[in-house]
Amino acid sequence: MQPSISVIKLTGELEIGRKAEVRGALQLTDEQKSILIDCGEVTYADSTALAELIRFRNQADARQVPVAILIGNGQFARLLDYAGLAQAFAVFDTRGAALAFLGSQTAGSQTAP
Amino acid sequence: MIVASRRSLILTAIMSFALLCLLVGGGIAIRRYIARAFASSEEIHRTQSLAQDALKLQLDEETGIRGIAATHDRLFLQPYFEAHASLRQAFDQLQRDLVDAQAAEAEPALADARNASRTWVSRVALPVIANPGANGELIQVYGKALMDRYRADFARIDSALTASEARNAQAVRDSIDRINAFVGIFVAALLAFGIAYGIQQLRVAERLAEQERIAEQERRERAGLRAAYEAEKRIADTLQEAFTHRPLPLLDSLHLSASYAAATESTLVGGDWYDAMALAENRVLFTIGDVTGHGIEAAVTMNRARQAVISYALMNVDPTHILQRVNTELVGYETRLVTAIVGIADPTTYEFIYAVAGHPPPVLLEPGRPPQFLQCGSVPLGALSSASYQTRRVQTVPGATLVLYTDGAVEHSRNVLEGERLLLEAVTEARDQLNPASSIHRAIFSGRSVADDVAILTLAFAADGALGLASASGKSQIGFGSRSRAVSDIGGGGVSPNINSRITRYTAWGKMAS
Repeated sequence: MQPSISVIKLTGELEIGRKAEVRGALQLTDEQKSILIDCGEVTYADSTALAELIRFRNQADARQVPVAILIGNGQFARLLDYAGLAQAFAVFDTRGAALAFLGSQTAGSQTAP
Repeated sequence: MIVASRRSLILTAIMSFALLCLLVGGGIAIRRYIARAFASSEEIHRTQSLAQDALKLQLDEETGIRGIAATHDRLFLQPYFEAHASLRQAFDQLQRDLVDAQAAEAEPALADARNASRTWVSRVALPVIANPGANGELIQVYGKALMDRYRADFARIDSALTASEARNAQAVRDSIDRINAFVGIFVAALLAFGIAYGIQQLRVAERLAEQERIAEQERRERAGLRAAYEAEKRIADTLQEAFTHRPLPLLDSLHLSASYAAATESTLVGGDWYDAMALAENRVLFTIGDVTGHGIEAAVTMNRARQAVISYALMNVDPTHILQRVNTELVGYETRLVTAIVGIADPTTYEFIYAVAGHPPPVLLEPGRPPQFLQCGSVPLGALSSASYQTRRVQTVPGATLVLYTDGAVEHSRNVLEGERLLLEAVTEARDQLNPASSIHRAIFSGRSVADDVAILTLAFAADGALGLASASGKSQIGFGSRSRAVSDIGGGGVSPNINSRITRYTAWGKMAS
């Protein structure tokens, strides 16, 4: 069975001025079974944006929805390091690896009762 | 406003010009009307008197003929010949003047009168002159009939002229009516223009007043906003002053320096803080942190976090323990996130023991070595109730300096990797400075405006390893029993292997803290 993966794409500089936009994008719905946050084109994220990522992770955790983050450059990876998000999220630097991870997570959760 | 006034000016000019044209045109028309009416009247009167003359001349002729018939004296022919000579001219003149006097309908009467006159001359006057005694019957009967016809003709001419005069009088009255109408229209137009102009001016004045009112309101709102802004800035400055600028501990064995720069362009205060507190045995508890956002709310959250750090440190100095307690407290509020580092500097062992919560990593500068980032990484405080933190220990050497900073120091260019490179350069340059924190700030920003608040705290072990006098009495002020637990919490991955490997290589280098 093809696992359904929702993709949320964020781009550019995520700063406090875009807080509402980022929060709007990072909304968990009932249909979402697994989520890929595509930050491949994110060059900067301030602490408000990182906080939104953490909030989203908390919500997803509570519903046991696996989340993967795709990163595109060292800057954003370093900011994730600061926030300890490299450990909190499954972080990947290729889309294929992220999708494979989410696929395995979903498949796993389906086989488990 | 300028457009509106220009439009009203143009409108005024157009209306003034229209009124002027009306006035000039109307004046010319009136003048022509009046002149024509008077010219016609004169013409009629002249024609009337000419007709009277013609009638009189014919009567003069008749008088002459009657005279000669009665007296046979040729002397009576004098008035006849005089009148006869003028009569022809009078007829010709009348013929022309009747047209000018607009009484052309009297032309047949005039022609008939002329015929009667001619007939009278040929059939009555000339026979009587030829034979004055023989033609009394002729004058009495035929001559009278002709004269009656002649009179009747002139009566018709006169009545035609009277009618023409009446018509002319009517035309004059009409002209006067027209003049009245014109003057009325002109006055009405003038009035309308005046009213329109007045209304226009009133509108302009109203609009001006409205704009002034709006401007005044905006000015007041701006003043209010500025006052509110300044009030908030004042309060926030006072809070920040009270919160952040606690004097740093003065020790011989550990030299501390700090720098705090508020964002240049923001009136709102940031949520950055640093703090240090002397513990027993020359150890120093240090902390640095940052609350997301700006403003009083951020300052209050910052104070809460900072006070919590100090309070929990008084109970248990284990950095992980402190961060977890603060996190638990902050998670309770749906509030801003806080990034922080809490640590202890121990000059007796040259150790830095620290834990990080989502904060940019500390930089370690050891004598003779390039500066490097220590390990970091844990979620910020207030984000996750289940967050766990890790105490890390770094064994350093005399003269080693630990540099702590807030994100403004590396994220000013939005390129954090570039920011980190600049920071390492600045730390290298600050190696022998008396106040490394200020030097680092200067080196990074070198007079440029600062977009975010930046706090920098440095802790440098004395190079010669002197412990100072304070250590002599070294009784633990705060339960130091926690220290063993702090150490035991340190995982193998907590400290960079290369730092551990260098412990033996650098023992007493550098002059950083001198």
